[in-house]
Amino acid sequence: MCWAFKPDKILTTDGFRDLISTNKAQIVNLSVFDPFPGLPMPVMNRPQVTAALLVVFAVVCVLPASAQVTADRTTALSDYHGYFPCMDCHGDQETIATPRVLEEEHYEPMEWEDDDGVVHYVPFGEMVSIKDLLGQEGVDPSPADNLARIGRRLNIESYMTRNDLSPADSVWTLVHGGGNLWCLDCHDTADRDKLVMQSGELLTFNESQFLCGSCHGPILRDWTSGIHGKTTGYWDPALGEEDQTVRMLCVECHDSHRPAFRSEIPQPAPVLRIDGPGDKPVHLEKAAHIEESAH
Amino acid sequence: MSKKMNFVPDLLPKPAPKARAKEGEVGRRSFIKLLSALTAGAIAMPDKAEAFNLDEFLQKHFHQMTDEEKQKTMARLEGEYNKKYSRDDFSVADGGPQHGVKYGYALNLSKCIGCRKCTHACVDENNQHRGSEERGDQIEYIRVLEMEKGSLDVEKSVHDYTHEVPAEGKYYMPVQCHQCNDAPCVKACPVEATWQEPDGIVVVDYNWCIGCRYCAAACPYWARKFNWVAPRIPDEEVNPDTHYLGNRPRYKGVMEKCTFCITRVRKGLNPACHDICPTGSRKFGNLLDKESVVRRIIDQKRIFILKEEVGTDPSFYYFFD
Repeated sequence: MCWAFKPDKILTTDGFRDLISTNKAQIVNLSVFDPFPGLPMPVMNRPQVTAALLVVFAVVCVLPASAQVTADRTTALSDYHGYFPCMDCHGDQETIATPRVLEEEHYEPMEWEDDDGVVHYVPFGEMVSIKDLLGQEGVDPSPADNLARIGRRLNIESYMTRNDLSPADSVWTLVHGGGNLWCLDCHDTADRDKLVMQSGELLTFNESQFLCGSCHGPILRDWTSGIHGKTTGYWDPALGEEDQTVRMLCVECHDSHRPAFRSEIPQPAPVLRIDGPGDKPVHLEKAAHIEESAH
Repeated sequence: MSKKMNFVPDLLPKPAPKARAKEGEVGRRSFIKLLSALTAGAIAMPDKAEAFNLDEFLQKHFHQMTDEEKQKTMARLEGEYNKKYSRDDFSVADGGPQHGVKYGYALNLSKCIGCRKCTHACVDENNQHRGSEERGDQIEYIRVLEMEKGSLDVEKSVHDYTHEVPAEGKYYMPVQCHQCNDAPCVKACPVEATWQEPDGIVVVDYNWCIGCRYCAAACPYWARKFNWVAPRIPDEEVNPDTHYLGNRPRYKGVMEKCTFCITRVRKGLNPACHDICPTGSRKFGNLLDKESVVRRIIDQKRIFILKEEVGTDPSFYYFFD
């Protein structure tokens, strides 16, 4: 089943409208499926022939391939479930990927100047948490070119000073997908600053809602129409400036690696004031007094 | 009845007969002069914010004031508040409703985690009484009820929980003024100090309220709160951006309530509780606009109205998804 994006006039996320117009959901028509288009139809109409052809096809093509995929997948999950080698460098995700609305001090885009006087800027969602490169010889990142590029660009030293990262705390657990996901299901192997859809299409981190929506379709549908998700600013965006109404992206409220909202201590409870300005309901005190005197 | 009323003239000060007026006694004219002087003195007393104010005493009902009188009243109130809170930036707006707008609120019970951030953002925005330190009787417009999953029985809900939220097996239902279209509080008021504006907000004229609390008794949502004491708001915490019918500082002995942050929504902004919500459970918009988010929720989601059976026709909807 395919559902269509419904363009929304109050969306303000950069590039979102363009993406809607360019990435329309592709409808695959599966109702007319002829696996052997070259053969004459009378032959194909015989069920024995069809069954025999399917068996041959399965034995020759499908089973070995699926067995291989299953083996790879099993290896990957058994090795990495609960601990991910990616986190040896990209650890401390809790520090860097904490959703901005859950914290008192919101996570803001980073901007700083390196030793050469070049100003660096990392918008929300860039994969910036890389450690163990500083002062550690013999690191063999893979793919080497990519990681070295990111390391140079981020100026690890200044970054680590700013965020007070501790290289020792590298163990990190992915709590998303019930153990069926791992890093490269969402992150591209070659370009660490890109996300990858199941179709192979690359997305920037600011377009992560499409990746989330590939599993959580109804939520993306609701988010698109404004029902799901947090919006701040104007109830009628036309009354404010263009950037004053903000629609939060998925990862601004949910930690993509641990999406469930964490439990927290609530704000102070109200004082019950049923009978008047006292701090306790007066009638309850009276009732207790009457009960005591009755005994 | 007329016989019972006969005692009234006896209690009034009898004017001294002209013939008996002697030098040194207080005659009627001099008594009136003295009274005027005392009144002027009371108005001029600089340090007593609660002193009798003739302009305030003679102030008309909000609906009866002309534009000029409204301007004068707002200017007077701004002066009073600036002096009281040692500021110079108070503004008291009296802006009216927009044409073609009726506010509606929708709250997603599946998403609310019961953190009470809305409650306290509301207190900050709306200049509510912060409570005395020993009692902590802060006035709050929003109560967050902790409910059993699978139950809608508010009688068994808890609203003073302090444990971590969200708790296992519970869901959370914030309750505030529902801005009813058939509001029992409005019908109960004996002096028409409260009414529903054309954009759906039920407001209170704090200068007209006599503090009888009939409206609080009539409200099925416990949405009206009474100022038992003179509200205490620290100078640095007061919000100077106010509206006459909304969050301007209140007096002792008057009723107050949620107005969907009238000072914000009439400028086009969302209410404070809406913007603070960390889960995006709260949705606000124009019920007359088919494209507004509240209308989409009503169209697409399973909504329900709290205490629908009492027939108050609220503008506040809950929904699950």
